[in-house]
Amino acid sequence: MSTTKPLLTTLAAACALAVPALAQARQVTLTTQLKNYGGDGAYLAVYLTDPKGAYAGTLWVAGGKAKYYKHLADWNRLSAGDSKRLQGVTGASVGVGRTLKVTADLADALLDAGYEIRIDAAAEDMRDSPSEIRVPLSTAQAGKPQAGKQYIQAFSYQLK
Amino acid sequence: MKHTVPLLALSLALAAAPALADDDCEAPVQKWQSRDAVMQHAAAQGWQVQRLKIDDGCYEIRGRDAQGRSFKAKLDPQTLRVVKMKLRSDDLHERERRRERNAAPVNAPIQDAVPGAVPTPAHSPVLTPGTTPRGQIE
Repeated sequence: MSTTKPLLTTLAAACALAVPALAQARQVTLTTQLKNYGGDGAYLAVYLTDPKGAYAGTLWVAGGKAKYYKHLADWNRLSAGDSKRLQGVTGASVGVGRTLKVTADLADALLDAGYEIRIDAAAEDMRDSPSEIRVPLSTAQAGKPQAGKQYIQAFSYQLK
Repeated sequence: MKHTVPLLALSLALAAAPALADDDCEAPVQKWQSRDAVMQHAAAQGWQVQRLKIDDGCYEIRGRDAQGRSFKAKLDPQTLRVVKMKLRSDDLHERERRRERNAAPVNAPIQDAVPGAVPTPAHSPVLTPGTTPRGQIE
């Protein structure tokens, strides 16, 4: 009887437990295409929540004026305690019909563990749309487009 | 006064975000001209005013200019000088995007954070250490 297969299975299981210290990462590419909603460029916050719904981290904030971040209401409230929430993750607001592509190296432990990707959206003189997108961060969800109700035509993500 | 505006814009661009005030205009309320005065001033420019409101310490007008172009303008409430003018044109988004891309990076302290919020760890536990997400608009 071969001893290789059980050994490999054990190793695979150990990896799946995803001990954070191993710092295994997955590259995730998140693609957000906006509708032609007929307004100014949208402010977007792309962020993660943990299985309890608590804030886990910010992946990207589109839109450069801090005074408008309160219109990304769920992200603003959930991430209020994170003094580094904007560090290195800000860019321009996204015009109608345009697509925002965010690439991030996420800890492997987050995958299939009850985490959610969320997107808040807002544009000047239009209604705020907190949590317009909420999708599980999972291998099953990867590649499946999700439509938003107000600003977002389609959101999907790919795992590498 | 004319030459200080570009200097002010330059120093604002160079300063870290914490130096930026929340209000675009700083005139004390006693010095403000009336809404009637604003409307007269607009009429003198040939503007058709659709909306006049107060935003960020300035008068904000939305309307059409003498050439029929839709615009939004912020006026200093004391001098009625135009502080910011935004013309609604197809090129606008491209100009705004370029301007925002070239602007100083935003590393603002959380001015509108909920007081007494429980601080989360300074480092993000979700990202691989040493990496930063990249964003791109297409």
